Amino acid sequence: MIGANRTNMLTDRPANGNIPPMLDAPEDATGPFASSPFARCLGIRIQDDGTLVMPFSPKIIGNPILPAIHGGMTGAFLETTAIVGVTRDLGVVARPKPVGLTINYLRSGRALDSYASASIVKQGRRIVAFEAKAWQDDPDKPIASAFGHFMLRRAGGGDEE
Amino acid sequence: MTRTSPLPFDELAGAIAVRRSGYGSISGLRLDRAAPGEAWTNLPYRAVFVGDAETGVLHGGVVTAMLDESCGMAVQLALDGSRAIATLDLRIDYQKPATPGLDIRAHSICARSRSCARQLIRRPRTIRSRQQRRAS
Repeated sequence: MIGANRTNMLTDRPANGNIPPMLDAPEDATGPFASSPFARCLGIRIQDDGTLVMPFSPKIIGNPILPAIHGGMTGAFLETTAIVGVTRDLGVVARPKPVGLTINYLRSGRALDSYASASIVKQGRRIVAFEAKAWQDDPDKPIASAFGHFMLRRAGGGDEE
Repeated sequence: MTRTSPLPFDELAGAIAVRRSGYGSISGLRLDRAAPGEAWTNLPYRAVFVGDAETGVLHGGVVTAMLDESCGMAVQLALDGSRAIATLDLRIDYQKPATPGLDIRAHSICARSRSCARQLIRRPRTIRSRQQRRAS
């Protein structure tokens, strides 16, 4: 979000005061995010090559003057990408439980679609370490990177220590 | 960088409560209480925040975004409203899953701000009144 510090949201006014968008999750009972309303709300999709897309939309804007994508939305996108990637790579059915996540914001997320991929760094018996990267028009210029850990749920749902 | 004149604290807190990021305002996040460098916020529960419909647990990104937004408020409350801020990194340690149906509250504190020191230097009256208090 480096570019964001060139505008002051407290005093600058957006060029056009649009009606704020609503947060809603379109129904999609058969899609990959059938049980994740928030991922559907952000419009996240899985592409054929395994990368994820988060289309630019007014609801994910952080700084409305630039405009730039909200850091929290970039974080949500990276975490979603990691859940999808780890679930796919390990072939597990139960959704892994996030333990912790560190996000580095490298560039301002502009008014463009964002892409992300994730990979497993190390797989333990119960904990998986992952890393993820998000970019826009140039994969060599990521807007954010992240690393973190998931706890794998045991089959049958008993995931408490 | 856009720079404007410093705001008195009450005006600053009022501006922060109203002038918000796009997602921050539509998410329904409220600034309940403000002090210099500290923000108390509340995010009312919404069904759209759910990340796993089977358990009803919120998406981690909802918490990430709330903490990012709340910490931004605390930092703005430590400054004088004349500067813009940007998130450089964010580390989240998930503790317990959020109980479905309940609001989330956050208390964020600005731990350190070099601009605060500069602001104090620019406003010697603040320093003087502190010294007087200390002397008396």
